[in-house]
Amino acid sequence: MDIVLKVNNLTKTYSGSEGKQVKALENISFEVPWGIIFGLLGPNGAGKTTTIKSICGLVQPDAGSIAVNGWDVQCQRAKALAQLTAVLEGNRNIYWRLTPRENLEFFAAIRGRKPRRLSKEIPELLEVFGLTDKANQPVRKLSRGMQQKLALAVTLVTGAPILLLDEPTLGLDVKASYEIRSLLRRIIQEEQRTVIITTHDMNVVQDICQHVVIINEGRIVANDNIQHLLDLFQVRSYDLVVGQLTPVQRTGLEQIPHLRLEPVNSGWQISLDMENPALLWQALDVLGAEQTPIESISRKELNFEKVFMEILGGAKA
Amino acid sequence: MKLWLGFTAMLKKEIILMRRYFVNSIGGIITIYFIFMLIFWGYTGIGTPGLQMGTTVENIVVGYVTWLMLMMAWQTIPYSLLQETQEGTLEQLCMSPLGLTALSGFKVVANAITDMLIVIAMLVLTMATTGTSLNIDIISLLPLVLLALTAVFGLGFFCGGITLLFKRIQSYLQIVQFALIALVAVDPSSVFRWLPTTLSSYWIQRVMTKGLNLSHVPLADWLTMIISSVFYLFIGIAVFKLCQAKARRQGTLGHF
Repeated sequence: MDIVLKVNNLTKTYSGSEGKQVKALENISFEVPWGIIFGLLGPNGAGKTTTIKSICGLVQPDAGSIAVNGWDVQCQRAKALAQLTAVLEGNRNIYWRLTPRENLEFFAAIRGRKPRRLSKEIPELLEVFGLTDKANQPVRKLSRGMQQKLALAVTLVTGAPILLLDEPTLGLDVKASYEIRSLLRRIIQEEQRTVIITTHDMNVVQDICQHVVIINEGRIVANDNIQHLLDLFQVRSYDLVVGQLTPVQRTGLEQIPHLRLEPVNSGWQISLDMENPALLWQALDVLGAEQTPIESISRKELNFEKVFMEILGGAKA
Repeated sequence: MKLWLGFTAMLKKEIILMRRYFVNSIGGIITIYFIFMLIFWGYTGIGTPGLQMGTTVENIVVGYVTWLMLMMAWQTIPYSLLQETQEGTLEQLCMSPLGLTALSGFKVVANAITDMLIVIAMLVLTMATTGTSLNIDIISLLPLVLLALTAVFGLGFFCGGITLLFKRIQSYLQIVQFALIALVAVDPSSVFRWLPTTLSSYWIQRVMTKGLNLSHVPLADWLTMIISSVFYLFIGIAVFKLCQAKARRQGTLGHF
């Protein structure tokens, strides 16, 4: 698999107030393969933005290296930057006094795109992003969703193969967020590009990302395929809804490690963490002794938000 | 080719914004004109009979228009960087493979071209109002104006670099506007001739008010103007690059 971005031992410390040193990144290393949507996640102050800005050449790391399609961001700056583009502040990375068409033309030109090719490409982009009707209106008159779509379109018109998007759906309503996600999927499928996003919205991550790196307090705490992470946490937990339990059964069940017992409408819910599959048999034995009816067995549905919180919790512990 | 595309993009953007905010531009011209009139009335005395419309008034017109041209050219970089930072577009410019220095250079040249229309309008207005007659010898004025602008571009880069580091320095930037008055007005006969734009401004004034041309400018003055202009531009760009590097190290590039 082709690696388009290689971050190696990135370290950055900022000088805070009163000379206090704040460590933003500590030996961060990861690789981004070509053609996926890659999530760079973490709580506020984890180091995501420093990582993104270092990749974009806006922050100089104290140590470590970043290679974009083989070009070093510090030593071969122009060539490395030609490989990537970014939206770092949602709807603010575009000129509000220019129209969408003028923004697209301007940003394409400063990236060295020739006008001849753009005469066909820009109308197509405006069409895809639903901005054709607004193509000649100043950006300040557009809705926030449209502004963010335009910011995304600007990244595409630059022709760069790698897109870095910092909070691309922040502040958008459900519909606009859905549209942005659809556009991102389209970018991957049809434009053959790689997208790196940071977001706090785990629904977005679960929906569109294939691989994530989770950073906490300047260190990587997870670096894995998103489905693998979900599976990893998914298989651990089952919910059983059963009928009424006798006091003896309740005592028996409560003695089983990693088992939680809660009353529900018609009986009891047994939540079982599957650290040890034998525990399930032990619980079933207790239930079978009184032939307690089992109304349902379900694998506990974990969303990525829970996985994220568990990873962060684990990292802190 | 990429540099040319970058420059034409910047020029096109400036022309679009100037046309789109034409009323605002006109308002700016009116304000500048009124400031001139205040200076002019202050000098001649409002309603004083028998105004002496001599060389001194011509010097005021040329001095004011020269200062206006240099001030507009100087402030392009620091004020546009402040605006780009506030609008969130500075990071996009920094990420361009052309680099922020080249793009700022394009911007300052593009702005100088569009600002020249305002300068010419102001020259015509002030000449008409004061009834002065000036020698508009384009061939002689062009190289002198370019040399004066080159030095002041350097000053713009210098202040732009400081702006990148400290951001909220508008009040300090305003001081430079007044410093420019001194640079234009100072007598270039001493070591002050090496100050940015001082000698070029002096010769612009001489050409326009005394009817001189390029052949009247001594070789030593040409050398002084060329060397000092290139020097200030070089220093300005060097400081701008150093400040960019420092802002990257501090992680404050693009922060306001």
